[in-house]
Amino acid sequence: MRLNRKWLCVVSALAGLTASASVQAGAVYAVSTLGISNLGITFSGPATSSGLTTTTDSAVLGGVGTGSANSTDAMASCLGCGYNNAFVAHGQSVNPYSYGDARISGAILSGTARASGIAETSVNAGSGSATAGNSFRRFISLANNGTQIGFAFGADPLLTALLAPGGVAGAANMSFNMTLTDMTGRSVFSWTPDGILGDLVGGTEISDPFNLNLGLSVMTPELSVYDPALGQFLAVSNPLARGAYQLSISMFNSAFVDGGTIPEPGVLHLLAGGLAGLLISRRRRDS
Amino acid sequence: MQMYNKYNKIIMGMLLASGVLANGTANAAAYAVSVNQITSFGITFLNPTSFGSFTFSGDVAGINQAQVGNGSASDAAAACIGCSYNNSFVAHGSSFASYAYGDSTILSNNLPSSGVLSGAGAASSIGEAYLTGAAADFGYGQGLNTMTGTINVSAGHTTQLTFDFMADPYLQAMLSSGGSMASADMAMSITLTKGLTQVFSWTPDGNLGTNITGGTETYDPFSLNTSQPQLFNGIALYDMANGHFRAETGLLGAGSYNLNIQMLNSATVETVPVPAAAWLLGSGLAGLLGMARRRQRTT
Repeated sequence: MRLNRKWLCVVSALAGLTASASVQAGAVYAVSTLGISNLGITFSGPATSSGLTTTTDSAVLGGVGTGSANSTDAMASCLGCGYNNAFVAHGQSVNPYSYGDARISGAILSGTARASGIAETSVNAGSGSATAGNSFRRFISLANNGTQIGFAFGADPLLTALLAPGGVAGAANMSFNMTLTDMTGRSVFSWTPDGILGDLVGGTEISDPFNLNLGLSVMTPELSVYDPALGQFLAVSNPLARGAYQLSISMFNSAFVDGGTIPEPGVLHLLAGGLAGLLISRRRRDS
Repeated sequence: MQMYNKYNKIIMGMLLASGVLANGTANAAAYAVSVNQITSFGITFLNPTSFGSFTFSGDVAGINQAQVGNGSASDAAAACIGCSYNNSFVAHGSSFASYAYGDSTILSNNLPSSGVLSGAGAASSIGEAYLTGAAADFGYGQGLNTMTGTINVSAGHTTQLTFDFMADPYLQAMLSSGGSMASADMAMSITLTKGLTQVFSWTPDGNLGTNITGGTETYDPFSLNTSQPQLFNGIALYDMANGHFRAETGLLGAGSYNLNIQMLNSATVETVPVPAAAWLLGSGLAGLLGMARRRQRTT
């Protein structure tokens, strides 16, 4: 009996030690990037078109964060890092960071528009997230009945989610869609490229090499990657009645990670465990 | 014909007058809201299979240089600039002052017994922004939710996953004189991967059988991946009644699968006071030119 109690004290002291040594947290990293190039719209008949673009991004580390927005180049949101317009995966880091950034350049009517977005975050414990959004919104006026609108662009996405032992979860998400509405707000053309030819509402897909609407997740120690090579996407609307239309092309990248919670603060737990053990063993000796 | 000309003159006069008036007040208004509420979300399996899940919610709000962003496992703190809404997933409409609101929440997230495995999963997100006056020129709000899941199919077994949920989206974009753009955007997709392979992907688009790979759609009543852009004065609305969505994967062999469910709602508004004044000046000039030409032609 006496021996048992003593062993209990040792075990409780040891438990305090091991719990703080092997913290219940692990590294998690996620990145979602999408580079759109040579984006253009063409008309089969006389048409006028004008519009504007928006770029937004955000970064959150440990629950709170920041965001930024601009018509063509939102200021980088970078917590724990100093990246700006760096649309490549920077990889896992010993120092936690969250990076969101978005930029648009070029002209959509000459087929030279470019849009880049990155959402990237890396933690060893706690949570992090980042987002990036790029949008083109245009007013289009078609002079003739039966006019068709063509849409073309190149896309180069990279999604990665990586989880080390102790980590909780990571996700890298991407979405891309084009919607054309008429004067009453009714959708007449809607395209969410998914890698399968032929499934387009209000038009015809000519090229749809891979999925642009998907997410990767990791919840066990592993690496998940979505990295198709640069692909060309092409679609054409059905013949449209003359009149005014509104176009929205929007893309969005987001990344989330959760590395779990470290017993907080770890050192205090160790100290408390050790002290409790000492106190109990002293009391035992006294009695 | 004579009458027609007279009316033209009146219209041109109105154009000129409106240009002057609008320049005097210089008040612009733009409003957009994108909200989606997912309820009764359920995942069912054919055969005994282990399942674990985790969720993320995040939101952002910004008006010009003022920006807020939040993230959390299940209920990101509301991002609200010029407002104090929290978990208020309804359209709040125009106000006395500019505001931007982003919010997201996930219910029944990590509790398989009462959550997605019993068809009780729920997630809501909203992006909303309103601009008035000449001072502000950019506003946005975003809400996004993500659920990650891991599914293990034991050796010697196969399974099929069924996803079933209700969705109630509301998108509105409104622009009045001086505003340059209002847009409400929404996205939602479900992806299942095994190792580096994508085995199932679903982006509900309102058409049965399209935008799904590696599975079959049973219900897809309306698009959950759409936008309402508004670049001229008026209101655009996408208001669907609560709709039932359902799809199932193909047969899945033994092994470990990763599930990702994402939803995004965002609203962006822009007013550009200076170019708007320039545009009004332009319309005034066009009116003058038109009158001059008409006078020339009549003489």
